[in-house]
Amino acid sequence: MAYSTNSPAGKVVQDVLNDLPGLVAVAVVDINSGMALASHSNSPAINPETAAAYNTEVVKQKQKAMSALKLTGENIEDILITLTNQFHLIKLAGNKFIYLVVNSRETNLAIAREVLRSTADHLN
Amino acid sequence: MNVLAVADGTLHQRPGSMRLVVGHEAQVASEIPLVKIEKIIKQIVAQLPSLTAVAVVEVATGNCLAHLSRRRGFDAAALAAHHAETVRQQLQALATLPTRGERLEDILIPLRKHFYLIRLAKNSQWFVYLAVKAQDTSLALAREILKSIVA
Repeated sequence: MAYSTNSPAGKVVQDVLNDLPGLVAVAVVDINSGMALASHSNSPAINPETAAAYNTEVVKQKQKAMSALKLTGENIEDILITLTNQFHLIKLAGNKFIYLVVNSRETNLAIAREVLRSTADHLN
Repeated sequence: MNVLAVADGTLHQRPGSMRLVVGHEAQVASEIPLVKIEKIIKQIVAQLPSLTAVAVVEVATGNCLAHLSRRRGFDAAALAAHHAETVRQQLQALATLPTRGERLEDILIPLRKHFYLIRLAKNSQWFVYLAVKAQDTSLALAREILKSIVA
């Protein structure tokens, strides 16, 4: 547990935890520094700081790809990565993103995406 | 990557290549074998090929056990002595507090265009000093990479 409910990022983590209590990990990450502003992990296998740093690279690379393709008028809204047993969701909000890890068998993906969509509005 | 003793200045240099310079009084005091120093530096360069400089430094003396610099004129060894002083000061500061189970792990110094990262070894005898350009990598990523390589 690495968040304070005094900050907007901390409140987002708290909200996501309340709506998705079975989640594996969640973090609010600043894209520029790659650092987690607030995070929580329910599994020792996922270190939110490490995840934040490397997933920031994922977001930056995708942004670079879009730049190279000169895709004007398009913005990344979210990134969904399907793993063997997990979903990793990245929901962008301005210069931050929410990173969420859930078990694929136990999670309703539509609900997870909706939770991220509504909490992301509180970030900026 | 050539390993050169500081005393030897006659070895042929390919222009533009990065030299790993090893201090000849190297591993005596810090109980860190030369092989390990080389391995650490190699791993860091592999993950951050565009780094500006990296050095392995002894805390107590500020001696640079080994350093590698991409930019000619970037004197990592001189900076290393200052960083060692920073580390010593921080260790002293921590010692004045009754903090149990606490250990200084790293120090991050974000400058305008560069990040300086100092990652301490578990035994607090030596550290790795890494300088990277801010546009090449994020602070968090550089920190994670150092974490995975040193302790």
